[in-house]
Amino acid sequence: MTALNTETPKIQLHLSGCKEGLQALQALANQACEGECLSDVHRNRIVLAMDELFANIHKHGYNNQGGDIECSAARIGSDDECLLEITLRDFAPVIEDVKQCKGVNPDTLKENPVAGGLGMHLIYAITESFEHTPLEDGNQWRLVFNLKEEDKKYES
Amino acid sequence: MSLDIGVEHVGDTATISVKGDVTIQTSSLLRKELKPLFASEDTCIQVKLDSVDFMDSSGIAVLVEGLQWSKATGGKFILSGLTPTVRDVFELAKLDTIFDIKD
Repeated sequence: MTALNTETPKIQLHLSGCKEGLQALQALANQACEGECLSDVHRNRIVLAMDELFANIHKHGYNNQGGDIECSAARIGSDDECLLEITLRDFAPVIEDVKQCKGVNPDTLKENPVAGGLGMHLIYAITESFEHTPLEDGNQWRLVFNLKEEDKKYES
Repeated sequence: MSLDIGVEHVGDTATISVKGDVTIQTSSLLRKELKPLFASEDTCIQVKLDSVDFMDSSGIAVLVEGLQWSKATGGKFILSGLTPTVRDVFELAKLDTIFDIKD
């Protein structure tokens, strides 16, 4: 893991492996939220979404063998909007249709408890927007979080 | 990132206490401790989560296996002591009404 540039709003990391990847992304999420008066629950959601995306890339993209992931975080929009954009770029096989990664529908779990597949559901539930772009040699994932505590999405 | 797990048997109840973060890296340890309980004589399994501040979907997936056991055998599978951050994950996943959750 190498922090390339921590002086600017953008932070870039090169990750490989599960253990260091999770720790680095948790640190990145916490660093990106620095200065924000976020509750533990709100901050945990941001870390969780990154954890889930990383786990999916590690497990399905790199088949648990590790690989490079580039990551950047930046505040976007006006001060009033208070948005955090996190971009992950992997070099795993290209996913043409991200809908194939939709995962399990939690509404069916009561009748049919199936273990696994909740990660994508959690990411969609947490983020303001979640976008996938297929690249020539990998995938780009863009997550946008609303850092405003009072936002209805974060009331629970 | 480490996970400490303790198992205690009282009567026909097994109580499993978990301490640490439950992630893709550690959830297999939880599964390893839970799985033998599914094949034991215990009719009630309680998972204490009051020392877990972070759990991702891999941890939830292990606990869903407890739901499967409960459904198949009629046994009780109870989660207790959820911290606010872990409870929030269950709410996000819409699982807070599916699991038997005690304070």
